Amino acid sequence: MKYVNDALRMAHRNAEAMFEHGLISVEEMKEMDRDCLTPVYAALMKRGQQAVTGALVEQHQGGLVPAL
Amino acid sequence: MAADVYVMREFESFARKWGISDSALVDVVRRIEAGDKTGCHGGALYKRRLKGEARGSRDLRGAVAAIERNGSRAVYMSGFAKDNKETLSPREEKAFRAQSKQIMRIPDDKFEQAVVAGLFRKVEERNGDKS
Repeated sequence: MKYVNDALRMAHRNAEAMFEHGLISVEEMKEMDRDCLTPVYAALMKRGQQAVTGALVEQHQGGLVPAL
Repeated sequence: MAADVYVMREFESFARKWGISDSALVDVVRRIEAGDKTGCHGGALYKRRLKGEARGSRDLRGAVAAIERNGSRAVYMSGFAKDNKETLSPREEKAFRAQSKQIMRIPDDKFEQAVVAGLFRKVEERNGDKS
């Protein structure tokens, strides 16, 4: 990933670790994505999250996934 | 009562690289608790300049910490290797302020679990550091 600078890279990695341990919410993690990643990467992350959600909805509608 | 001082995993590597000692980190927190507002960015967010003791390390480094006056914990979050200012950019300030609030909101029991899991390390005090 591309970070704005090294200090924000450290902050983002701290946030990832806290997220993995359930100490911060998805929304708080997304907020850190927006602040710490370069704008291009933040946009890509957002599109990636939307694509994953969209794929799950399609699978669910096609009967492949019992419940979201 | 003086706060316990912690470093986050990422800051730990940074401090080790530049030779920033535990006693230097504790000293900064104790000075802030005594009323020194240098590098305060409002609330619990501070950026202070520190001298590392690593070989060939003559420059000051910037340390970003969440330090709540009258709180029970002070946490170093991030650092700047090249640092000639005590200010933060608007983006940095937003990110670090959010992270300081996130850290201060962690309940004591979950924070202790996070220490055990290695997310935070408690900085050991020298005798006489803590009042």
